[in-house]
Amino acid sequence: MNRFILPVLIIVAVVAVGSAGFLTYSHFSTGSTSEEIPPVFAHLAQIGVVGAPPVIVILDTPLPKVPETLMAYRIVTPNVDDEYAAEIAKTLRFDGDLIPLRGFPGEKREVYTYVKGAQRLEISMDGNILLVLEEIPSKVLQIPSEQECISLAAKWLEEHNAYPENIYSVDTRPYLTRDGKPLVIVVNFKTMVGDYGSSNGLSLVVGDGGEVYRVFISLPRSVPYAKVRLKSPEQALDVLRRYLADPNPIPPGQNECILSMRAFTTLTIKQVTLEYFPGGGYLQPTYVFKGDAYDEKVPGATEMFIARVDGVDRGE
Amino acid sequence: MKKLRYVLPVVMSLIIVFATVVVGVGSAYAWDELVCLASDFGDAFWTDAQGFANTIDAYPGWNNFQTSHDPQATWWKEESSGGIDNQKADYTELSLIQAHGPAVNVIGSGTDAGQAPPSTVRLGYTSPDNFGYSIWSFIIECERFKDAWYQSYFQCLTGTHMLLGFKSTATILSPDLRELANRLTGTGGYAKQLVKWAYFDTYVCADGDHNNNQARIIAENDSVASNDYIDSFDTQTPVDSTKVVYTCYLGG
Repeated sequence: MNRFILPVLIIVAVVAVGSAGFLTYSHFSTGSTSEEIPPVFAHLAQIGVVGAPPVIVILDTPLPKVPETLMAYRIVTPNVDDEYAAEIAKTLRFDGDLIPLRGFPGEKREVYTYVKGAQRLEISMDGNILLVLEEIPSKVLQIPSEQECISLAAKWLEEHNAYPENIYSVDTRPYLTRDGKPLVIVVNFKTMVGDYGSSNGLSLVVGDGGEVYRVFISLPRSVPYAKVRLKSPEQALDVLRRYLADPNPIPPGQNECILSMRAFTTLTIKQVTLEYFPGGGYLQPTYVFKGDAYDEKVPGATEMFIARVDGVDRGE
Repeated sequence: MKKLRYVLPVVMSLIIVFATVVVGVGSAYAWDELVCLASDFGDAFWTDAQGFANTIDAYPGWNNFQTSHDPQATWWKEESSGGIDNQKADYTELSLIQAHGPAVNVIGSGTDAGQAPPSTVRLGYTSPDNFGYSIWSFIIECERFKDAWYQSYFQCLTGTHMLLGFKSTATILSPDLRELANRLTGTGGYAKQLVKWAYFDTYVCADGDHNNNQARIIAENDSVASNDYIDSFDTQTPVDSTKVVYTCYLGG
C-alpha cells in the first residue's frame, strides 16, 4: 500500500505545469514589483502576549550573504474536487471510505478524508496530504536512535518512490511527548526552491519498532513569478529586534515577523538563513533566525527559539 | 496609535464557552443550554469563532449558550476567588478562550479584562465549591503552558478532563476554529476525532503556518486523553494529584 506517492506528486506537478505557462506569461507580460505580491504573513495571526519584557539580542553567527533580488514563485494550487481526491486515493491505493458530509446547515466540504479502520488519508483543499497509518501509542516504548529514525524514514520514502531529490535539510525532534518523554519522533525532509531551502517538504513520524505512524506531504507546486527586492540581513535583524522590544502583539494580518516564543529576556542567535515560505499565494523569501532563548525569571532554562522575518523589501 | 495598541489586547480577544446535554453517555449533568462566549480578534477571526459556535451548536446534544466580545478572566476564576466560573467556564462542558494573554502565568484576555492565576482556577465536579461541569477547556493563548509554569495548572483540573493550550506562541489562521469544530464533530468532510487529536491536528501540521506551534494538553489521565470524543466521555473521571502532559510539535 502507499507505494505510489511519486505518481501522486507527478499528478500534482502536471496540474501545476499545465497552469504554469499561462501564469508565467500573464505575469511577465504585465510586469511585477515587490509591492504587488501580498505580504507573506498577511494570511495568519500570532495571538501574542501582552506586556512582554524587552529581549537582549546577541548575534552569535555571521549574517548570510544574499543577492539584492530573488525570484518569488507563484503557488499553483490544485483543483481538489471529488475526481482529484479519488485519483489521489486510488494512486495511493488507499481503499478506504470517503467521509461524507453530514448535511448540517451551512456545511460544506473542507477536506477529503478517506478512512480504513484506524488509517486515515486527508487531502486538504490546498493539496497538502496527511496519511495516518498507525495510532500513536500513549505509553513510552522503544524509540529508535536519531540516525535510525532518519534511516527508517528515508527507507520508507524510497520504498514508496517518494524520496525527494532536492533535499535541503533533514532534522528530527520529538513529535509527541508524554510528560516530557518522546512517544514518537518526526523526521523532517525540507526541500529546495531554486537555490534556497523552503519550509515545505515531507515529514514522517517514526516510533517503536521502526513503525511509520504518520506522513505529512506539503510540496506545493510553483512557477517562477518575478524577482523581488530583498531586505538585507541587517534589516531583517532590525525587524526581529523591533518585535522583541515591543511589549505588545501585532494586530492580525500585519505581521512582518513571526516568533516561536516571546516571553523571555535574552536571545542568542545561532543561525540565520534565507528560506522560502508560502504566503499570499506565493513562495516568498524569508529570513529564519534560530537560537537559544533564556528567561531570567527561570534560571538555568534555555529553550529553542525560531523566528521568521519577511525577506521582501516592500519599499515601506 | 500607541493607546490603541494597549486597548487591542482587550478588544481583540475571543472567548467561547459551551455546555451540553450529553447524549448517550449517562451524564449526571444534563443541560438544556450551552454557553458560547466570543470576542473580536479581527473580523475574520470573529467569523471563525461564530463558525465554531455554529458547528458545535448544530451537533446533536449540544447547544450554544453564549458568545461574547468581552471576555473576562473572572469566568475561569473560582467564585471564592472573586470569579463567576459557576456561570461560565465551569457551568459548561466545553469552553474556549482565544485571546492575547499577559506575559505572566495567568489565564487572561488582556490587562483590562482581568487575570486568573492558576491558583484561582478550579474546573470540574470536585471544585472546592462542589460545583462544576467542565470537561474540556481550550485556552488559545500564546505560551500559556510554557515550560516555566505549566505544572502550576495541574491544580486547575478538579474534574475537568483536559486543558488544551500552547507551550509556544500560537500562530493561527482564520479558519482554524472551524476546522477544530469540524474535527470534533466529524463534519465538513473530516473524520470525527478524539478531542486530543482534533486539537493537535488542527494546530500542528505541515502547512508552513502551523509547523512551529507547540501545542500542549494537560489531561487528568491517559484514559480521558485516549477516549474522549465530543459525544462520548465520562462526566466524573477520577481525580488525583497526578496529571498527564502531552506536547505536539512538528518543527521546520
